[in-house]
Amino acid sequence: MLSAFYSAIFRPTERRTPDNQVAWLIGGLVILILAFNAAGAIGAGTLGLLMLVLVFAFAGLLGLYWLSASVHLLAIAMGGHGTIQATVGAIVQGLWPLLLTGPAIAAMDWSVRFGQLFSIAVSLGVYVTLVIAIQRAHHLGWLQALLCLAITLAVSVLALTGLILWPLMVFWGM
Amino acid sequence: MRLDRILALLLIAICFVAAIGNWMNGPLSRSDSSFTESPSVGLANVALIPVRGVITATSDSPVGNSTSSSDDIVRAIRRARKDNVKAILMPINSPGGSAAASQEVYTELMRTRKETAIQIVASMGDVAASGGYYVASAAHHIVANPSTLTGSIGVIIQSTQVSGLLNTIGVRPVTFKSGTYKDILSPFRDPTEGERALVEGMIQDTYQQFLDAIVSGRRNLPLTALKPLADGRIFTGAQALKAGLIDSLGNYSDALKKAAELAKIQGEPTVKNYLTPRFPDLLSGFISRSAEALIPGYRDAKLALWNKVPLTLME
Repeated sequence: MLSAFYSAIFRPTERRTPDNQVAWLIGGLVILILAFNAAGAIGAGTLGLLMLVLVFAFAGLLGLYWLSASVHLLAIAMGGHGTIQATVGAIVQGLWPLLLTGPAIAAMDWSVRFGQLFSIAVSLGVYVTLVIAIQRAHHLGWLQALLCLAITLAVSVLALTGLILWPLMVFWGM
Repeated sequence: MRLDRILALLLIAICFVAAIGNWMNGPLSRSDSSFTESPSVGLANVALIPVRGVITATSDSPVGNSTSSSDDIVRAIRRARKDNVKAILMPINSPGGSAAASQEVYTELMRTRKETAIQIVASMGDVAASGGYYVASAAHHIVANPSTLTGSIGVIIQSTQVSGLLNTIGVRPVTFKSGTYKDILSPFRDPTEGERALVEGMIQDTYQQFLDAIVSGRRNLPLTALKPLADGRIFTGAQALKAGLIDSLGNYSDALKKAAELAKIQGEPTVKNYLTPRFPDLLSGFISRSAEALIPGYRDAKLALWNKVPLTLME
């Protein structure tokens, strides 16, 4: 699995379909590392950390569900050939730069500017790896994969706004 | 193992350790701190070296980081000197500690005063008594809150006599020793006249060292003025100011201002904590806290082990 993990990170173009085990490993590690970072930011203790891990795992699954559904729908609409399993795996694998948020935040202890640059690089890296993963999983062109991700993110924001506005609309209308 | 696997493992380990470090830097370094500072970034002109809890030679404690290690404090003072800081600010919240450990810190501070232009300011928190005051007396300026408990200048050695109890339950300890005083302070018998004289001599000698240290550190407090105050009594910050044991009343911010003023720092002083816990200490603290939170009775078991008494006697 370690070899597959290495390939997923350093040779992403080697395989067309993502390895499920590696995807689970990356997903689990990302949740743990983000939970550790968040626990440090809010000063949570051991129980707080455990709660954060559970909340992040739940939120991560919800986010993954939404992102995979949206990306898959758009990819198919643009002529993609990947399966839904491949989309889910590709998205989880594409999130691997988030593993580097641990070192990025730790780097701020030495130099704030370097830490901030590192964090920006990690954020940009996530978009790049997601685009690569979508492109590989659905046999799409670069632009199509980029559009898939960009539309998904834009629609996510709009959907969130709708989710808040819709109950308000119903509440006021009644 | 193949190189790609090693690299993968290394990447996971680095990310994981850094994330754990981020967490521990949050709760563990802030949990028992009564003050907060900006993160230690860049060059600082004020070194923050807090003294918290019982002052001991090493920070080995069965209940987390409730002690101040003189080794760590001395190392921090040396680092601050090497970094050419302009002032050292020592927030002290300690009921005292061992004479040697307090002396160790005091000596290093006095050396700093003698060999450099670094200004040292002590800021007393809840308590800065006995060994805590010993350390504070090496500062150029001592600031305390009006209700801070300080003083308790003196030396104490205690031993518990349990021979009566052992007689009642029919236990008779037997001692073999190489010399007359090898079992001095034995809990199994009353001390002899010779032993009393020996222990009292030790106490007087250590006490005199304590007084001499205070007089050397606090130039405006002569031995004749100090002696009546040094009978072990405790003072509030306000009383200590009247007695001349401290220099001004105020809180941590006042102490920082004073440090900046004495060191002639222009503008806002930049503070860096020189006593941030080392990673192994953080890790052991984390394991201890986690075990205490998750395993019932873990703390009692560890205390019993540390005190070398059966767990049943702890209850």
